[in-house]
Amino acid sequence: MIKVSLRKNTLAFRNNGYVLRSSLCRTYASLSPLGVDQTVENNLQTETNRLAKTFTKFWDNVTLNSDNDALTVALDNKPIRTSLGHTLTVPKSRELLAIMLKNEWSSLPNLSIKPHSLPLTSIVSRCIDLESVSKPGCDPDLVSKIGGDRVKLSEALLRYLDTDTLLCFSPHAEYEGTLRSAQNEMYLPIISAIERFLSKFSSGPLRLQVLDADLHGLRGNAQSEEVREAARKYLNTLNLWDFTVFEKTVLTTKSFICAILLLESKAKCSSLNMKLSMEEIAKCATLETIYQTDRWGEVEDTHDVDKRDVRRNINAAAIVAYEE
Amino acid sequence: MSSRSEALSSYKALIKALVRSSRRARIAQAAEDNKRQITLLTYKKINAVRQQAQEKDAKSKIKLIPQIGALTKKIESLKNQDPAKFKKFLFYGNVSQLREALLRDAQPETLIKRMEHIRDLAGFVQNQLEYEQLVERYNPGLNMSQNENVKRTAARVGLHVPEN
Repeated sequence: MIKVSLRKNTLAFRNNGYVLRSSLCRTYASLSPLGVDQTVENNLQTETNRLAKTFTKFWDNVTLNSDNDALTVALDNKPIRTSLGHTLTVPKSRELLAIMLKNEWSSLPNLSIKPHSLPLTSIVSRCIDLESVSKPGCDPDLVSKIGGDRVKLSEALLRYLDTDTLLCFSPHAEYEGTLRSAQNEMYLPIISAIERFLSKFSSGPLRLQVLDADLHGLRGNAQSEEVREAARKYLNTLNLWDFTVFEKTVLTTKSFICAILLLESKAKCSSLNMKLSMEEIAKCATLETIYQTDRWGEVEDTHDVDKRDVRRNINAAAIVAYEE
Repeated sequence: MSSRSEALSSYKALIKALVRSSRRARIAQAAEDNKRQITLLTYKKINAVRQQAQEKDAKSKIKLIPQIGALTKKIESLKNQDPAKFKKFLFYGNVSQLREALLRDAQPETLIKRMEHIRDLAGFVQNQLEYEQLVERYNPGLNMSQNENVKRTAARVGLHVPEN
């Protein structure tokens, strides 16, 4: 009894200490970075966990089991489970996603499986886990396993709008002005479309603060409180699947705007009157790299790998976002 | 009309990418299977030879000879097999399910969206494959077996791992 109460006391104390500390810090400094895997290691006996620990293939057949409105990916008739122990189930409206998931698991060579071999599964299982964690009355331990609740994740995502890739313009002097003119040509229409799009979530018209290297030099960038509020409202309108896709896209492209573009181009009825293909989005996000490699050449094991990495992640996000 | 030919070309690209990525995996799986089969058959053969040596009766000794011969033949044929040349790996096994999902009836707007979506499916499979190939190329030790790893580590300091 004494032990238990002691532990409770220390826990409470720790909690207090944490609250005290985080209230002293500036809000964004207390936020942990996104994209770092913060899921706590656990010994739940799930397929994804087993795979993560042994890195070996242990099944023969991959099937899609359909029941009612959902498709479940199964290995030798046992459903795959996510890292929090839920079955890897996809609604029938995302049938193509289910087929791609099945393909992902059946086209793994059995030698050894790396974390990067299952990008679709990782997004989908995060969708499912986030959905389960967002239900009211959920165990706070599980919430911390997934890296925070929706509010915390939204705040972390909002930081990407401040220094968005599509809001940073390079100086005219670089690359004889070719990069800057390409940026003007590509980014400016997108920025004004996004301004109009976000204005719907605000009382008045909004302006995004851009970072022009000629005018502002080398400094940080920050959006006004109205813009942040509108972006927050927009994030709250997303369902959890779209939210996870949004998160994945932001982390890949380092751009809040690219994520809006991706979701809107996959949405059933888009209110953004601009439609970009995934290749165009990838190009927007890596425009500067394209000019750098053009001038200085590609570095092996870096630029070529990154190029594919960005595209496979953007396309994977698009596949998860697509719904009929 | 142009959107139709575009959809067709992206469908072709998708199937091509699927064949390429699954072929690589299936070859690796077949090679592994092959190895396992050979080990199993070799074990069976050793057992048969042992049994033959133990038999005292000449008749039952002779009886075992065709069995051993068959096993040797099988092992040889498995050893000569090259999974990279299998014709069946040039086809994607799961086309019917994919095609069914792509051709399912829906509203015209949904159909247009779906046709556009094929390009993203193809882009994903292709880039995932290329990414994996590049990672493997730049990190040759990544897919090395434990035995191979030990052998190379030993070789680095001038030692040899004993055979068997």
